[in-house]
Amino acid sequence: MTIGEILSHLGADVANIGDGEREVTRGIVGDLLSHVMGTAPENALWITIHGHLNVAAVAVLRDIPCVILAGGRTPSPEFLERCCTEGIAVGLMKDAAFDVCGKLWEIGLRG
Amino acid sequence: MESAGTEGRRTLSESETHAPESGHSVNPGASTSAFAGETAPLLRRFRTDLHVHSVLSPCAELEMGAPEIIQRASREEITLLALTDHNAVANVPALMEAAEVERERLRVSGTDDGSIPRILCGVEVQTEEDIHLVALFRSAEDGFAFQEWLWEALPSRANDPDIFGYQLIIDGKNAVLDQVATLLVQGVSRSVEEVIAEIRHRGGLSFLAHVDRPGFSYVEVLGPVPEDLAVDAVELSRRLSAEEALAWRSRLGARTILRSSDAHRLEDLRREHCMELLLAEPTFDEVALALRNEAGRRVLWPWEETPP
Repeated sequence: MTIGEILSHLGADVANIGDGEREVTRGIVGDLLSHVMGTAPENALWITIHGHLNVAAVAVLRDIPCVILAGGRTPSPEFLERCCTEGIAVGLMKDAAFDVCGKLWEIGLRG
Repeated sequence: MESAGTEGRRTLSESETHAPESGHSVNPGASTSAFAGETAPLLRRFRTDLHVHSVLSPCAELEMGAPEIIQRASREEITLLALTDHNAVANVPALMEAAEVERERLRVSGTDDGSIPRILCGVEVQTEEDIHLVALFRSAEDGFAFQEWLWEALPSRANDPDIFGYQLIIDGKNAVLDQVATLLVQGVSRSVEEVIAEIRHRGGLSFLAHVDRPGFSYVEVLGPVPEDLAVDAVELSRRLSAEEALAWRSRLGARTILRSSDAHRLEDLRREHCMELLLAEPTFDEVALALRNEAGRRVLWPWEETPP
């Protein structure tokens, strides 16, 4: 599925669409950057409650094309700006990270 | 360089003999200027622990009472100690009082050898990102004003002593004055950058706590420490070997590196868990100079093996 289709399925508030046509097949969830940096699979989107600038940096480093900020958390302006510059899609969700994962599992994404 | 000896402080005079040659300055460029001028104060080594918990921290043992901390620190020849409970400074007056009582007792009996530690006001803040950051303040008043700012951002969840432990406010003789009802071991709703800026704005010092640990560490949560992060130092935990500490040192660049006990029980309060600072006297302002590596004041490399 493409990032655009996934964000639409989730009903996320799209803060940046990035490369909306890119296909992603896997996902990772976590808020500890060192953990995500070490274990993110290829071609995955990332679900986190953490809207710090460094989340964008880790996404760039691991070629993560889409970050979903769960739990109704507010992203920092620096984070959004960097994601726009780097072409990283950002979806904002009121749902808890657990529920976001469930919705992604339903449409075939795996860890 | 004779003053320590003439004051009869055996440990200090021993240390002082070696001070200019041994140990290591994190930023060697500015390390010896104070020795040059005629009026330069005499610098001595002070064994220093800047990260200690008391019975106010729910995770600390109930043996961490005020007189007990003072007596244990004194036995371990720790001459400067910051009390740094989780998100609170409320036991700092108790510790200061206990130190003063003990010092007075020794003075009266004619045995005051300077072994009772001087107390600094500190707090271990847990930020929004669950990062632990230690703040030090010039006075308990400054600390209480900061605590007020902090508590405005502390979630209102109540402490359950059966799960987390007691949060006791005590006096210098361990009489329980109060309990803090709100759970102190929670992240406040302020980012690490906001907390650092607030501490600096209030004239305090800050350092990232135990960055090498898997929990509550800046590095674990946010990755490498950026050069422009406005903390005054970075703490490595006492659990590191000399070799591991050197590896961390090279990762952290030009930062001042500290080692303190993070003691939650008395037996963790040990001389080999903390560090020595080269200071003129054991005060907040001198520590500030040492953390910035100014006027000859500095933090000596805490592990036995001196960096290359």
